[in-house]
Amino acid sequence: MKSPMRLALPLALLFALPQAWKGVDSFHPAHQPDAKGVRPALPKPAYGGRATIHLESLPKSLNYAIDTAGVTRRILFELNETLLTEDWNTLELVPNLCASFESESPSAFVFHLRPGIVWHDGVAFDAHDVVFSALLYRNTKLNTGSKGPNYRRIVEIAAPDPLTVRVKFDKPFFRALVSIGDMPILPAHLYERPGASEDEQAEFIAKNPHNHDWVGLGPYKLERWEGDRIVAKRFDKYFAPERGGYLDELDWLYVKDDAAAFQATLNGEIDLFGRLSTEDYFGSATSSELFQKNLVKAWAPSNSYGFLAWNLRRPKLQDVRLRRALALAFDFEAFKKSCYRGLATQVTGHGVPESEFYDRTLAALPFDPKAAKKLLEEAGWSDHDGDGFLDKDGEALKIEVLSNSGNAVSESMIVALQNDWSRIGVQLTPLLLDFNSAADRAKKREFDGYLTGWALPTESDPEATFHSKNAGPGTSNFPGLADPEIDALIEKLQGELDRGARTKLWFEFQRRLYDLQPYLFGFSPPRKFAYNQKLRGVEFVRPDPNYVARRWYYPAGTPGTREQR
Amino acid sequence: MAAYLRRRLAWLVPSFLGITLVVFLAVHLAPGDPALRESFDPGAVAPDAAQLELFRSEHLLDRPLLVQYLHFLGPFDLSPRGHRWFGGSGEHAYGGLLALDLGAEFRRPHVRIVDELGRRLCVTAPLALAAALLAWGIAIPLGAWAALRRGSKRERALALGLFTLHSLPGFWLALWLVLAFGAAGLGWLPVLGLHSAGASELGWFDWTIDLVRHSILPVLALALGSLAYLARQVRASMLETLSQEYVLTARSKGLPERVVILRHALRNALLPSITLAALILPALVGGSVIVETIFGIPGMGRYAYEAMLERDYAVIQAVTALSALVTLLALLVADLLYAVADPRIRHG
Repeated sequence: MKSPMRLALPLALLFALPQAWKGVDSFHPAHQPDAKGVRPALPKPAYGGRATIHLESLPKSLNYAIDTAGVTRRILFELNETLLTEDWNTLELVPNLCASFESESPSAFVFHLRPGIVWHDGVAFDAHDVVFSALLYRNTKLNTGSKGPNYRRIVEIAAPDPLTVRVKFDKPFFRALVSIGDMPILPAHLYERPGASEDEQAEFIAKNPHNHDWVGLGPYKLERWEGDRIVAKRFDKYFAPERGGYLDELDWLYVKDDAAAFQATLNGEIDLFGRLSTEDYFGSATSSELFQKNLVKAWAPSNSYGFLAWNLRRPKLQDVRLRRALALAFDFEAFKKSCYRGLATQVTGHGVPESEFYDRTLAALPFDPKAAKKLLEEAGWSDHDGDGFLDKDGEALKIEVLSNSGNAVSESMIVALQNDWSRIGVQLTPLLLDFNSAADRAKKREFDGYLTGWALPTESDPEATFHSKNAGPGTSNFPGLADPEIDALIEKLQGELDRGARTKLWFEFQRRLYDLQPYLFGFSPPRKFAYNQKLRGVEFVRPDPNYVARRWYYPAGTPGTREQR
Repeated sequence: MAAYLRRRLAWLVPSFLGITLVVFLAVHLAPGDPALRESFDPGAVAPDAAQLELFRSEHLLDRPLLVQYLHFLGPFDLSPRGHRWFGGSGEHAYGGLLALDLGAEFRRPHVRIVDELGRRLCVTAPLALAAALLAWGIAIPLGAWAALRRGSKRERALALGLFTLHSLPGFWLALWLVLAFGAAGLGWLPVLGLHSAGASELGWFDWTIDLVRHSILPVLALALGSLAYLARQVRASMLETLSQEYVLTARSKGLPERVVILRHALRNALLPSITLAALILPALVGGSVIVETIFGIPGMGRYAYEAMLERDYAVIQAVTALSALVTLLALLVADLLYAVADPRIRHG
């Protein structure tokens, strides 16, 4: 087995995205640097006004405990708060609802809450809300998606006084602090049923009307949720007014059809549209006079990446030479240029390419069809019957690739793979199904390759996706990877609390994955936006949702705004 | 007439049950697992086996199809919280279609399906009604005119125009309207939803104007979709009527042409349209997936479509049951009106 190719860092950085997205108003035409590279001063912020943000799907509820959809989290980013929050630049966890926190032992933490914080209904927030929220995830009768297992590691949690939370996990666990720090907190006075059984409490939470009429802690308070529009007004009693919002109102508007949403953005009915296609970003749609006059186009790195998961249960795909050859035979650079116009990062490992835990020195496999053919020959795949396609022991080399239909990028990638692989004698059979049917087949492992993607937090737990304990059907370990070295690295990662030491383990983990090639790693394309040019203070950040609406404002003097809060 | 009504009503019940059964089977036999759909998070998480089982058990998905269908039909709740006769705790003894309790959505357990159907109907029905009135209002004079000018160059041009309109895909027509009347074109009208942001702060007059401005494009898109078909129907029916002897008699009596056309020909020509008019009713509750999706309107069409994508069996079954019931009732009303208009039908 070949060792990973390590190149000098400057060369590897060629694969990464440029940094032009960073900074406040970095894309705004009125804030571009002059010949000396100096940007004009930002306008003075005014208070007031509203902004409408496009939603590509409508949340089922605003209770993130029972709804893990990204869209719910994005709205709660402004409607709720957590004990800790991720610093936009360093991606480190910093105190938020808590004034400070400390570690009593590798598996025990104490959080000291800020005094005087109130829920949107005026009731005081205290340590009991935190304890109640942590405990509800342990309720096996409540459908909390994948969150439950982390909280079931808690062996002790208590509120010795209204401003202190003490929590202890069964053993040192690298996600322990994040689990509590990033935990969506529910108002106990609205969700708790004292004395209820697990069943009764679960039903009370699942059917609670406040899942719709959310009461949170964020700088914006839910005003109403009518059909496709969710309206929030600035919350005057927000605990950190200096970090509160400038705008009086934030609206989230669900529009399923992207073309219609883009037209509505042009029409001034949406202020931020986050699903600008590559074609529109670089095409006439954004170079029109109407767009240039009223809107700004922008992009920010996303936390997602696409991949083709190999089904390692299929005998032919168990040979790493075949998997490596199929990667060598695909022209990633040509695809990046044609599909993303170059604006995407090719990933070589599992993780968020912009994070410190991602090994950017792992170079992508080169496009080398000759080397691919040679590897295949070594593995016994040759054109024995002279039909132009490779075969072995009478079996033709056919790869069935499963994917969701209706995704233009996936469909383009399948066509490109089909084209490139056919040149080395490999046949690709596409299997494009609707989401449910594709998920069903993926769950039953009825595919050779499954083209899909992950949206990840800055640092995720790879156990669900790569540990052998999840190699069976119905899990997220699509390839069915069962590698003792990977298992050991995951277990070490989980127990390692030192960030630096963990980064090294992540790099080792990624190198091992690189060797094994359980995925044909694809791309992490940035999210592309179009937003109202009148809005200022627009900064794109790395954590999802990539923007911070509470920092947006209209410049002083804009009609309908005022100088004071 | 009473015997005819009894006969028709007797057919209505098995037809309705048959439709619900076919839909139930189609939904359950289609690929896709609602439990997996509910728990499948493409964010690096594995569906928790215990949670999947819990979901299936709560919604009886782990029980035989017959039990699931009887649970949906009612009036007894067959779930673990259901009627004691069927081993339940008795907490929620009655439920299902016959108990007029459609339960809660799979994906949003805090939302009662009946409440959501009411909200969606309030959006879809007025739009569909306005579109139907507009379509009929244009189709009747257009069809009658085409029949009277049959074979003329202008009538042929109209026919070509109507065929072209009829052959345009609905989504294309809707997007074209957006491009033509939105900021990218004339910039006259809003292109999204039924209200502007902040409409709730407007006075009733401005609020109504805002609603009307937002409704113009969706109503146009809905009306234009059916206009061509209706106009051709009216034309065909008018042509047939114009060749009837009573029209000839009316003319030979020396009645003014206006009276012959409006009172004798057009009124009779519109009789076959009773069925078409009755079928507006299903459209009132069914909505349009395409128009509601492109114009961002939370109506019934999108509700059903999104439930299908989410494999929300409870919603799909509720919406199809409602649509089936309204369609059957509409057909019954049409048949009864026909029977009233034509004695040959009621006397069988």
